[in-house]
Amino acid sequence: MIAFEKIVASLRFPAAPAMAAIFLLGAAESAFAHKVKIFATADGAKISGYAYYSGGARPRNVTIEVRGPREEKLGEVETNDRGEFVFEAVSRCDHTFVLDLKDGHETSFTVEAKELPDSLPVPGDTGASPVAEEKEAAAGEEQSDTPRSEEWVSSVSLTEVEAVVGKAVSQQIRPLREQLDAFEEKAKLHDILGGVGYIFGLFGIAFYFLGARRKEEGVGVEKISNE
Amino acid sequence: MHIADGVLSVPVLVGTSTLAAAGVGFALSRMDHESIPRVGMLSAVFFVASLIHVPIGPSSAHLLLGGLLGFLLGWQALPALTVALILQVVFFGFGGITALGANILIMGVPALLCYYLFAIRVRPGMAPGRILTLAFIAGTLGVLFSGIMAGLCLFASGREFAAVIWAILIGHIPILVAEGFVTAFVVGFLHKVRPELLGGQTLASA
Repeated sequence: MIAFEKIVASLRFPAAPAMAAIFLLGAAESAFAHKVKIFATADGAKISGYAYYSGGARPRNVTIEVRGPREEKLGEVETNDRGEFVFEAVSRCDHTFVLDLKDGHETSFTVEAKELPDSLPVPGDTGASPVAEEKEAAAGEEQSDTPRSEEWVSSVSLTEVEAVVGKAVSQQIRPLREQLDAFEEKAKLHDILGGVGYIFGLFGIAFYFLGARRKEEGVGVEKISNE
Repeated sequence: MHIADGVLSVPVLVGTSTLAAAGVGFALSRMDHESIPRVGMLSAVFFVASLIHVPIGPSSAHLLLGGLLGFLLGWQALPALTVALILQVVFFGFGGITALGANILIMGVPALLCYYLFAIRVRPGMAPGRILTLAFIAGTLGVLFSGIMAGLCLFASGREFAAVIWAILIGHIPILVAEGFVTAFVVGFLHKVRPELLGGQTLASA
């Protein structure tokens, strides 16, 4: 320890905090970043998701507002103890989940209309039919301009197959999407090291220019030799 | 405590940017040759420290080090913070380009307060215990002041002050304490090995 202090003492700047920071950095590799985000996917008409900080922790019992494509409020959900929430979609439109943590952290995530089942009514249609009436709703799709509408009328089982396949696929790709989303947010070690390099470089340049100026003025020389 | 783009109102953004630019300009005009390595080093420390997240309870938080920067750098804390905050925006999207001025003030004003309230009280030959106490208080109050500054910025943009302050401070209580210890540790260590570094520029040059 004494040797360590001597080394530090021989430096002209506070190296101790930097060393402490580097030790911390090694200890906490998974816990970078500070941003709140939402992730959600649709599974049938049920949109489930969670809010999280990019460090991995999740905000509990916070209220997330659900907005439609024209910023109109569709409802509210509250995250549970694990930061998760579930929202039953009643219409097939873009659902935007907005979380405002009141301390300057805000985020939103949009589940697009195309992720939701065709069976849900498109807003603007007559009356929002509940999720249960899937078959009627599917038949009602005739008016809407889906290219497959003819097949739909002829075979109801196709809707069922689509629903099952859609569900299976969304379950399969969900972990991938989660991973990708979290990865994007993760501050990477080399970025941090790069940033530190930038800072030292910048101050090195400043040091050089100020030093050069002092030398020209003839002030720096004696002062430096004094020390 | 980074405020992102699009949260603050335009008058607040303009006001904070102007103030921050004036403060940084003033600090740069007083920056001398000897202080540069110190400023650069602490800038790097701040940059790294605010990227390391310690999960605390339901949330996660990071050290702010505003008190420490003010304690060791005085006015030079402003350029140190500015450089680190710019790089955090560019690399990680923490904070925001337009909110840069606000974020500089949120960290910088507490740093200056800590400098004028505590660091200039440090005298050569002072008992180490007193210096540690000053540093500890500077560290904790630095966090508190930052919370209040962030609250003020959000309040000026039309948010409810009490709710904002509440949300910020609750999450930062553990940091408050941790920051006091970290600041006291660093200052105590420096006092042992390089006592002339304490007390910002005035004492360093005295």
